[in-house]
Amino acid sequence: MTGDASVALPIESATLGSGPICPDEEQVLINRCLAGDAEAFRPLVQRYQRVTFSVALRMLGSRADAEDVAQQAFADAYAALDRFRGEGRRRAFYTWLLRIAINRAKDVLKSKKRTEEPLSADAEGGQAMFAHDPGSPEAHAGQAEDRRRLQAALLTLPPKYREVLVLKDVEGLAYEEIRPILRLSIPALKIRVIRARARMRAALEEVPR
Amino acid sequence: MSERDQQTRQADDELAARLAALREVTPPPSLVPRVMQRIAEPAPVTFWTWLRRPRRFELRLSPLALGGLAVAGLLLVGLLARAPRPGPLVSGRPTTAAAHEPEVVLVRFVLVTPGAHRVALAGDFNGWDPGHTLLENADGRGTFAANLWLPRGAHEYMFVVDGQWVPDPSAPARVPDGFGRTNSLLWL
Repeated sequence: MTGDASVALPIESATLGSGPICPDEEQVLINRCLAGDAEAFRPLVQRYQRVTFSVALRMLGSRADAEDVAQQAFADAYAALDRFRGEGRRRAFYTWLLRIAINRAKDVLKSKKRTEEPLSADAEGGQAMFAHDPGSPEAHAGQAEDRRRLQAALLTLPPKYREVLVLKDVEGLAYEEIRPILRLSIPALKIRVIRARARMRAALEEVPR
Repeated sequence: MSERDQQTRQADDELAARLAALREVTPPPSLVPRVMQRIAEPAPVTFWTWLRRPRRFELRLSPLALGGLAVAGLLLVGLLARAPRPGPLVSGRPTTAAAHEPEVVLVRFVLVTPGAHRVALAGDFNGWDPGHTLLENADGRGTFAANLWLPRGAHEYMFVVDGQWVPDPSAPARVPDGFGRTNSLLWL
């Protein structure tokens, strides 16, 4: 895949949870939170829990670490809501939240590096992990094996390549959406994606079948 | 497009399609309740929140002290009126101070980073755009500087050194940026 075109499913239908929330509705919920109604944050958490957890999981390879990071990202976002400037931009809260989650995940990676604790790579271990999984048992096993190899290869990449692949290819974000998350220009992002895919292909060759 | 480019593109497409399968993830059922429980707890008081908390001050001055303050104020205004005006700027902001006093202040940002090739300034005053305000290598030895007119008040900013976001080591203060990191803070 090159350029901005994506073979991934459309974000609106596949990435997010049930029921659309337009920017105005999100701003209403945020305003209610700022007025002291913490319960107004629940629809936002329900809406974005999957993508936040998914990004953290693919960055870290551990469901336990991913849940911690996702929780922390939502808590950080809630604490900083008064500094959120959506200004009616499409998916502004979504990209803002993902930036927090990515930064939190990278903090965990740094701390694990300091303590020399290896990444656990238990991302494909849970039975209830996939939202749906139709098909024969053989197909199921083949897909699960492919996901295991992809996750293992992802974890061998430097974080700067891992994050861009997670956002671009796993979650299917457009370059315009990734730009404020990673604070890179569009040309720099495109170059990084090309290099990340090349590194990923090489890493997959090294992962045992 | 060469055959090799076509093969690379096809391999990229296949890889992206495989990676998209990793999107199918179900978060743990405990995530939402735990988040809601966390945000219901009172937030810890940080230095920044303590600093921004409204306070009430009571100041009592004798008539003599009031008179002294008034004289000192008049002297200060007189001195400021005679102060020389700054010259042209690199930021493309206003070139004369008179039209904008007292809302804007000229600020010189300096970062000494020998070996750096490109140093930019990103902050709330330029939309955090690292391509907007480039610093000039003033002495050719890594002392990067830029002058900007900025409105009075608090400003958060970071330097971007060859693509890496770094705080200003000489900033008067730092504040959490809400994303687990800190921004440099400048009061004008």
